[in-house]
Amino acid sequence: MLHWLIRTGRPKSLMYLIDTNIHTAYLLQEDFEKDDLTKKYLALYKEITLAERVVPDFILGEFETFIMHVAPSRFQLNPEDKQKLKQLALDYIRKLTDECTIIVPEVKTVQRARDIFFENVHTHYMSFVDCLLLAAAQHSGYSLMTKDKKLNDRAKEIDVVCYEP
Amino acid sequence: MYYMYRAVNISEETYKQLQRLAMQLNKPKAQVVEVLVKEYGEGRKEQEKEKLEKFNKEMEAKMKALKLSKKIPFDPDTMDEDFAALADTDWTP
Repeated sequence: MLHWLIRTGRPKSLMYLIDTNIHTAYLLQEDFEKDDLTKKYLALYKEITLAERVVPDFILGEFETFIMHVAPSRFQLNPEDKQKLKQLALDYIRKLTDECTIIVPEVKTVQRARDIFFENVHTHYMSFVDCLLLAAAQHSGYSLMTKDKKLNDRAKEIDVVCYEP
Repeated sequence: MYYMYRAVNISEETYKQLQRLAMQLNKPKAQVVEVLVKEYGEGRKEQEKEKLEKFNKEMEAKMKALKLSKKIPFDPDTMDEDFAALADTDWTP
């Protein structure tokens, strides 16, 4: 193997880090009342090519927990609905992991997430998953796509580009 | 404009091919790489578009088929709060 140097320009963000709320809104779009902004987010999401959709392992975990465990209980789904939703989620997770860009955070990203978490824990609390998302977007120059307004606000404070309608 | 240098590992054979191309075209190797990467990216665009269309079509059919027996009160803005449905906690942020 040879080691050589290549000159590169300023990284342009052509990759989109997708938050759990976008995946969930996409999957459940036929089953809840959508406001105009949600409709616009979903329209944007559908235009992002699969290779440009960045799916971190921790978002997959959060998505699976929400669909398989939270949603059935929170929305009091009957056994038949629960089964249908489970099957749809399995198909979607399979497709995401087969066709989108999967990432895992580096140690430095986790440490940065920890710093964001503790900086905000007493003022405007964010889950550690949200902090990981911000740290990953910042570290790799991804555009963040989330419907969470508070998360978009924090992202802008640390110069993370938000992909918004 | 170039302002950043980054190390990349490639195989010896690829490097030889790059060197040959650069010599034949009488262009710097960096320029050859840039053109090749750009062309490769352009070539993939159509392929990616087709994959996306197929994905959207398949998923839309599945989502329409889901049809839960009732509308659910899901709100993507407040999804984090829905996790409280998992279990009670005494931790209040």
